[in-house]
Amino acid sequence: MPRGARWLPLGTVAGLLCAFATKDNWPVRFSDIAAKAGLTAVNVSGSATNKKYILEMNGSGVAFLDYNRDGNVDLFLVNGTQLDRAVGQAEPVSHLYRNNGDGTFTDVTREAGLAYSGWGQGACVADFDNDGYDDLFVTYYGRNRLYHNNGNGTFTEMAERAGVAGADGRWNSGCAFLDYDRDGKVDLFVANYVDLGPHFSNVPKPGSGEFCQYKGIPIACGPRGLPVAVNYLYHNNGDGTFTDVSVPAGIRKTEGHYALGVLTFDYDNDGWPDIYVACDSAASILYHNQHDGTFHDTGVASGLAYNEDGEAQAGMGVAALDYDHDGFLDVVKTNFSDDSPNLYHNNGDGTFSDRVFQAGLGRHRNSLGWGVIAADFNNDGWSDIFMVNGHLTPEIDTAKSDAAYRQRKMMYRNLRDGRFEDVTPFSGPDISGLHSSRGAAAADLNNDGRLAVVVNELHEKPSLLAADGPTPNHWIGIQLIGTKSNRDGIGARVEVESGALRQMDEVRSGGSYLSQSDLRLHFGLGPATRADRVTVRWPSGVVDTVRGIPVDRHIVMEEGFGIRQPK
Amino acid sequence: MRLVAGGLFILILGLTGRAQGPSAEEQQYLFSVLPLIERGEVSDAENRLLAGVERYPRSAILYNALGIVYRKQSRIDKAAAAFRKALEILPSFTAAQLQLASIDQQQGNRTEAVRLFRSAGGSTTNFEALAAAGLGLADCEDYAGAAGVLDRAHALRPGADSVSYNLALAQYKSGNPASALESLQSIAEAGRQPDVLHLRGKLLEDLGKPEGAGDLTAACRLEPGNEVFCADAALRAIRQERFLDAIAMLEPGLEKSPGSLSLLPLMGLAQFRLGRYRDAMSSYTAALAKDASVDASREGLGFLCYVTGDLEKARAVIEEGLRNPKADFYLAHLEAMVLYRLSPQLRSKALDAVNRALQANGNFAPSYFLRGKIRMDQNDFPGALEDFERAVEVDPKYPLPYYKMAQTYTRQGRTKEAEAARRKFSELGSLREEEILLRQTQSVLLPGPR
Repeated sequence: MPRGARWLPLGTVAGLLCAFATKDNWPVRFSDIAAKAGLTAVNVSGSATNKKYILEMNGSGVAFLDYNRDGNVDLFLVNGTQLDRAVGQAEPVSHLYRNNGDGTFTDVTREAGLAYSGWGQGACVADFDNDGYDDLFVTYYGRNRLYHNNGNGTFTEMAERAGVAGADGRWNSGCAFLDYDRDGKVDLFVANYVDLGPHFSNVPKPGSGEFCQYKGIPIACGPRGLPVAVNYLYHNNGDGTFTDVSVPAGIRKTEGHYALGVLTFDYDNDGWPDIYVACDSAASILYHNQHDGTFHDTGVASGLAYNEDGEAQAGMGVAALDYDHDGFLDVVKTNFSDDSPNLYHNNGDGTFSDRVFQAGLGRHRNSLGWGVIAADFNNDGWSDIFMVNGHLTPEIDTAKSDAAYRQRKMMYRNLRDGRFEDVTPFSGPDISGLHSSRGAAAADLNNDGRLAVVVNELHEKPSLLAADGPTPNHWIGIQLIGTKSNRDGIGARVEVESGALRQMDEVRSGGSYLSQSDLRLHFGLGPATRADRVTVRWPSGVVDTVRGIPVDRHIVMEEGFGIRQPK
Repeated sequence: MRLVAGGLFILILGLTGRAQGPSAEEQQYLFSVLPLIERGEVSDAENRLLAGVERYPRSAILYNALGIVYRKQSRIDKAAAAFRKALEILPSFTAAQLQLASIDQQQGNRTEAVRLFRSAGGSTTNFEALAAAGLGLADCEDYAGAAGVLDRAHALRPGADSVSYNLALAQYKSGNPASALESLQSIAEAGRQPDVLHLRGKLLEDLGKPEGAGDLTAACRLEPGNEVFCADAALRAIRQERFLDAIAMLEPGLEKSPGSLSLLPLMGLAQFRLGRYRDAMSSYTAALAKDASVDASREGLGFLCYVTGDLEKARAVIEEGLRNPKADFYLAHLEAMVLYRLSPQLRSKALDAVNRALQANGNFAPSYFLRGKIRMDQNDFPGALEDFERAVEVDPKYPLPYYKMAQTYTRQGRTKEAEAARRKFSELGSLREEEILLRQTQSVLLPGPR
C-alpha cells in the first residue's frame, strides 16, 4: 500500500475481539531484575537532596544497542556528575553493560573506552558510517561525545573531529539520527534545553525569582525565565564528519524552545522523516520535512505544539505509535505534573487531535512524566503505552502535595477501540515501586518476544523491568539492514499483516526521554501463527515484501534481498 | 468586615437642639423616672411618663424617654410614634433622631434612616452622638456620609480607637483606602488588635503594598478561629501560591466550624492548587453537603473532576447543580467543557450548554472560545471564526482563540490570515495550563463578585 493511503480502522471488529479482554487477563507481570542482572551503578545528577540548579533535576537517558553484534542487546546508561565532589571521590561515569545472554550483564565501560565523566544527558544510536556496527552519540551539558564503534568491543570518541561536539556551556538534551535527505547516510539532530552559560553564569539563585518556586517552595530556577537554547541539525558528509546545517535547513525558524525529547517519524506518510521535539513550557516543534533539505515548523498548524486549546505544556518524553491501526502514526507525549500527557491522534490530513481524555490517559495529574514507550507488551498486535514518572527534587515533598518526588510507573493497555486501560496494578508489584524516574527504553533482552524496560532512576540504581512467564501471544522481531539506505534502516517503515491485523512502525533512533530503544522492530501477532506479509519501505524507495513468516522469532531483512538469516 | 460599636448609647438628655430646651420642671420630672428605667421597671416608668406627657404635652424629652421605654418593651410602633412626637415638638432633637433612625434602619426604611442619621450627625457636636450617627450611616451603607460624621467625632477625640477604626472602615468602604490607612495610624497597639490588623492588611493590599498580606496573616494568627480574618488571609496566601500557609490558616476555623461555607471552598482550592486532589474533593463535597446550592463549591468540585479526567463524575456534579434554574452561568460553561471533552458524540449537547452559558453571561470570553472549538469540529469554520473573534473582542489579551484561528485559517487554506493569527498568538504568549487554571480558579472559583 502506498504511503498516504488510510487503512480502514478496525474499531468495530476490534471491539468484538476485545470484548473478553479484562484486567484479569493482562498477562504482563514485571519484576525488577536490575540487581540480579548486575546493573549496579548508581545514577548521579548533582546533589541528591539539595539541588541548586535545574541541571541537577533532569536526570539522564538510557540506550539499548547491540554493540558487539552478538544478537543480544546491550545497555548504555547515561550518567551525570556532581557540582561539588568530595576529595578522593571517584568521578561518576556513564556505563556500558554487555548482555551476557543469560539474564545477566557485565559492566564493560572501561574496556570499551566509554569511561567519561560529565553532565551526561541523552543518547541515541545508529551506524553513522555504515560499517555494520552501531555507534553511540551521547549529549552533555558541555561537549557531546560521538563514540565510533570499532567493531572489536571498543569505541573511539570522535565528536570534535566529526563536528558534532558543540561548545562548552550548551545544554544538549535529546538526540536522534535520521536520514533526512535520504542519501543513505544518517544525519544527526540534537535538541538543546536551556542556555545555562558556562559555569551556570545565566542562572539565578534558587527561590530568587518568579520561576524559582514550586507551590511556594523555593527550588532551582527554570526553565522559564532562563535564556533559551537552539537546536542543531548535522548533515552527514559520509567521510566521518558532519556539517552543521541548522540555519539553512530551517531548524532555527521556530518559536519552540527548551527542547527535550526528540521523535523522528513520517507523520504525513510522504516517505520523508519529520522531527517532533517535546518542549518544556513552550510550543513543541514539528519540523516538517520539505524534501529539499529544509524543514518547516508546522507545530501550531498541525496541533502538535500545544494541548487542544493552545495551552503550552511542559513536554518531556515522546513516542510514536499507530494506536488505532489507521495507517498514520500518532504521538504520545509526557508532561509535567498538574497537567495531563497528550495522545495526539493523527487525523491523516496533516493535523492532530489530542484525545488524551477520551482515551483514558488523563487521570493521573499528579504524575510528572518523563520516559514513554509505545510498544506491544502483551503481543496482541496493538501498541500499549508505558510511562515513567518522578518529580524534580526531594524538596517537593515538603509541599505535602500528592505529587511526590518518587512516583510509580504506569502501564496502559490498548483496548483496541481508541481507549487505553490503566493496568499498572496488574503488571506486578515492581512497576509500582517508587522512584524518581527519568529515561526509559525497551528491548527484547532475551530474544524471546518479551519486552523489558530499563529506567534510569535519579540517584538510584536503574530499574530493569522484565516480564515474568511466557508471553501468551505470538510475535515477530524484525531487524533491518540497509544497503542502499542507511545500514540500520532508520526511517524505514515496516508493515506487518497477519489475518485481519495490520500494523506498522518505523525504525527510529532516539525517542522517549533522551533515550534509545532496541533498533529492532517488535510486532505482537496475537493468536496468529504466521505473519502473512511483511513489507519494508526503505528510505531509498526500495520496497521489499516477504510472505508467510513463521512467528516467535527475530528475522533480519536486508534491503533488496529479503530475509537474510532468521534467528 | 465588621464595625466596632463606639459605646452604644441611650441618649435621653442633653442632645437637644439649641433652641427650645426643656424646662427645669420637665427635667426634674424625667430625673424622677430614670431610676425606674435603669432598674428595668419599665411598666412603672411607662405609667409615670404617660402621666408626664399629660402634664407637659410639649415635652420632647418625656416623649423621647417614653419611646425608649417602649423600645425596651419591644413595642416598636409605639416607640416610633413617641420619637416622632418628640421630633414634631423639637425637630432638631438629636437623641430622638438617632432613636427613630435606628428603628427605621431596622425596619428597612433605609432612606429615612439615612436622612435622620445625617441630620443628627450634622447638627450635633456631641462626640457620642456623632459616633452613633456615623455608625448608623455605616450600617445603612452610606459610607461617605459615615466617614464625614466619624471624621468630626475623630477630631473631637483622636484617641478613641473605636471611632478611628470605624472611620477607617467607612473611608475604606467609600473607596478611600489612603485616608483610611491614615486614620488607622492613630490607633495605639494596632499590632495586638486583630480587627485593626485585618483592616490594615486589606487597605495595604488595596494600595498595592505587599506587607498587607502579613497583617492579614497576623490577624488570623491572633484569632485563629475567626472565619473572616482567616478566609481573607488564606485567600491572599493562595494568590501568592503559599498553599501550605493557606491550609494552616484555614484548619483552626474548620476545626471550630467544620461546615463553614466561607472556609471549605477555600480549603478545597488550596488543596487543589497543592495537588491534593482527593482532599480537595472532600472539602468541596463537604461544602456541598452543607449547602447544595452554593455554586462556588459545585464549580470547584466539577472543575476538579474535569481536570483530573473524571469526566463522568464532573458531569454528574454539574448537572445536579444545573437543576437549579438560578444556577450560575459558569456551571453551564463547565458542563459544555465536560461534554466537549467527554466524547465527540456529545458536541451538540456541548453546544446547547455553552449557548445557555452565553445567554446568561455574554461577556465570558472562554465561552465564545469553547463554542468556536465546537463549531470548528463541526467544520463550521465561519461560525468558529466568528466566535474566536468575539472571544478576543471580549478579552483582547486572551491568546488561545488566536491559536484556533490560525488552525481554522490553515484548514481554509488562508495562509496569510493563519500566519497573522499565529503571530498574534505568539505575541500574546501561550500560558501553561496550570497558569490558566490558576487564573480561572482565582477569577471564577474564588468567593466574591465576578
